Amino acid sequence: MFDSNPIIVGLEVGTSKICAVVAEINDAGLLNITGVGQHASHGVRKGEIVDPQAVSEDIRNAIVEAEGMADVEVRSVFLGVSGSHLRGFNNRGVHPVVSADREIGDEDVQDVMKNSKAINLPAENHVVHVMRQDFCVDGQDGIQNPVGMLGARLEAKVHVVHGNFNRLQNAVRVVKGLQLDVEEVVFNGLASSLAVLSSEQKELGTLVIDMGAGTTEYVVYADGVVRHTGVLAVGGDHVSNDLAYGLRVPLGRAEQLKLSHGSAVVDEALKGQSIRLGGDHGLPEKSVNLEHLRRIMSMRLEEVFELIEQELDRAEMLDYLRAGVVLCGGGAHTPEVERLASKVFRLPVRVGKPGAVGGITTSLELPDFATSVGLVKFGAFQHRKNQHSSMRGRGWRSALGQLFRRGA
Amino acid sequence: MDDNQSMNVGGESNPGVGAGGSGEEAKSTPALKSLRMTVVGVGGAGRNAVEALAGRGLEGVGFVVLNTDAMGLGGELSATRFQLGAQMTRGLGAGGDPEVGRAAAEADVTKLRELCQGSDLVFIMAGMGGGTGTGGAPVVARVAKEAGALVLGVVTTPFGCEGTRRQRQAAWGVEQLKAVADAVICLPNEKVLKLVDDRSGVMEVFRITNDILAEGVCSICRMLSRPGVMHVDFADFCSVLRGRHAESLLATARARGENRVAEIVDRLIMSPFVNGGQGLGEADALLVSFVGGADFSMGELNRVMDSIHKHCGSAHVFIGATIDPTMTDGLAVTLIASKGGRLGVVTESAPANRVEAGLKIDAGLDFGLDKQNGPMKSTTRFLPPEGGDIASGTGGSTKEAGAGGKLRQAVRRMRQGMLPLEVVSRGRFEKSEPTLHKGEDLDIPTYIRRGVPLN
Repeated sequence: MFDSNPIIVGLEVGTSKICAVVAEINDAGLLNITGVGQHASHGVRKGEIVDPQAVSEDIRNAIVEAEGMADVEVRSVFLGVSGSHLRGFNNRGVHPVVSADREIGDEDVQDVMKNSKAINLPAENHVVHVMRQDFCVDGQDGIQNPVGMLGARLEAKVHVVHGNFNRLQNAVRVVKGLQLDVEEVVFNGLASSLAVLSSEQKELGTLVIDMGAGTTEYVVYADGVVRHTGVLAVGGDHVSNDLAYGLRVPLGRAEQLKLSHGSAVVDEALKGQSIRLGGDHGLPEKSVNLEHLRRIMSMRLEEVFELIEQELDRAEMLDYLRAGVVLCGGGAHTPEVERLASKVFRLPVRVGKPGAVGGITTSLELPDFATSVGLVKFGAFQHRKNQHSSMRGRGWRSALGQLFRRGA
Repeated sequence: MDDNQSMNVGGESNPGVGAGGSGEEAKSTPALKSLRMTVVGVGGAGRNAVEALAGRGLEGVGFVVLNTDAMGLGGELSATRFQLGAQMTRGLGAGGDPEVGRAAAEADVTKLRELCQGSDLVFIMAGMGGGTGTGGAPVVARVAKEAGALVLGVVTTPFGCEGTRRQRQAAWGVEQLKAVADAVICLPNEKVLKLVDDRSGVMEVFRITNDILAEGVCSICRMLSRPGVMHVDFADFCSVLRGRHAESLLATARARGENRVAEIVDRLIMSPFVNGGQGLGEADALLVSFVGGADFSMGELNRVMDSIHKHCGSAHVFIGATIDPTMTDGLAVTLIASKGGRLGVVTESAPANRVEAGLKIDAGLDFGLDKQNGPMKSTTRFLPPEGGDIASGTGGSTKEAGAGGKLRQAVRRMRQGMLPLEVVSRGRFEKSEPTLHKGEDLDIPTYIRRGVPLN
């Protein structure tokens, strides 16, 4: 009745694919991926659900496949969300230390975290994440753990990610409709960065750009914590659309061309080259100018990078990026995309792959799966945190609840 | 000063000046008449522009400052100051409402007529977007026109950061002014921002704007009042601008030294009006005035004209040149271009039609103007002195029925201005909400938005 090993499931509902990853925490406490399920996604545009029924079908198929591979029954998932409505900003909470000897204790830390969560949001917005950055004791910045220090004033700096409640609930509802519980809603960009970044990169400062089909998410890590997050509702679909329009080919054909001949930079040597497209389904044979193809694609990708760069420049985040930029997501497969990004950001760029998780097969080591693997990693962290808090004896009720949840 | 003498000389040597005052009903001895110019500043921005202009020591030009805001009438220069709509607004401003500005100006129409009487050329300077300038300038223009002057509007449009409401009000005001005045020169404040860097003070930016306007007006005044080696007289000026009812472009540049031709050409093309030559391409009449020193050569003139011709096609060009002995080794060029192409075929009464059509269409958009009837009445009341088509000039309904063809033509012309150049199907994104970033729809292919041609 009680599972021996807790199961963590990450579910990514993306614009091009729906992916479910099942993992277990083995006896040594390490994360091990046991099953993966995928299905093409039909009801999602720009990261948001537009056809709940179609999405429901696709999710079911993906979950069933994952369950089959992992040989477990999936009850609850960590759901990854994205969409242009998601915004991130930094917030501070303040708390005066009340104890007589000015020593900062656990309760003070909890209080200040509570204060930092008191955010003035528009009514229809809902907080997705509150990520602790660091603390400030009496004006001294950069304190990781203030417990035990002396001070009169404790401040906590957090990064808050929030989004439109209704849109978030759309995704949650669809999942719940499949008799699955949503343990937590996770921002896709955050999940991707958990999967592809090493702690060293997080310390030095890195920008992670997840180039998906519907959206492009970006997260800045510096000094080990999240400094900035954002979503741009432009993705691989836009590139295909541009190509379909510019080369005057149907959308499906444009996707194929993008995958087979696309590139992020235009080579001078390409002038005049063209590709012959075989006539099929009664369409006459057509030839497509390769240089145009590359140029259209390059312009769109360059614009995406430029928009991100402008946003980061405005938020004054560019100085933090000592370890450069990491690209992941399906769009990271584009040839020469590193070169283009490097040109726009003037920083070293590499393509990141999910790692540091056991049981991961080579098929999962692609940048496309960064989000799904990241969701599982996030789930594992949460699980560990819950375990610690239950071990501390606080909230025995919730510990009991967890027992039941795991077992039943 | 110099100017005074040249004014008289201009009057004597150019009987054409009197002819240029055509349309003016009262004067009868054209030969001895000297050009009377008036600069009218309407509203706060207009007043500032006039102040900047007055500081340049132009002789023979009368200055008038009009405002609804009593406090906005003060200033150092000696000008006729008049408070518009004193009864209505009781010394307070127009509150950013062009309707109030218009009504205030209408209320004092007799005084306006008095102020404009006897002028040959009236410059109306205003900042569009607010209340007094936007609403009052077209009224003043109308009155000045009725008094027989050539009316030139020199206006600014708001910064982007002032919001769309003000932009729309400004656009409406400019249209109104265009319908009434002979020519309108429009300087968008945004363009001035491009000339300065981010750290310049606010006063600095406004000073630069006023300077640009003042320089333009000044050079026109000087050009018309000095005698020249190749003289451009008022008649030529009129033929370039009169009756165009369109936007004109004004650019001035001056430079000294060896490379003055190259510098001047650069500055003209880069000036916020000319916009890199685009404005010139559409022009069909061009007035270029040179002021040089004793060493001004034909070669210099040729080179400047060559560069200008590169941008404009088959425009009717008037060239004027004056020698100013104090300008040795220096050169100043003023360029005025107007495109009257839009109204080429339609007759004089049509401008009233066009504006009304414009208003009708815009009534669909939320303009925020409560009384649409107000502005319409002012345009129907306006009939050009040449005697337009009275039948089509009165009554909204008859206009529609009788001048149906013209209205449709005018409507089509108005509409054409509003549609985007290329209607891009959104393909895959037809059914999803557009991704908007700073007003740009990112769903439209990037290469189209950036205008990259694929041949």
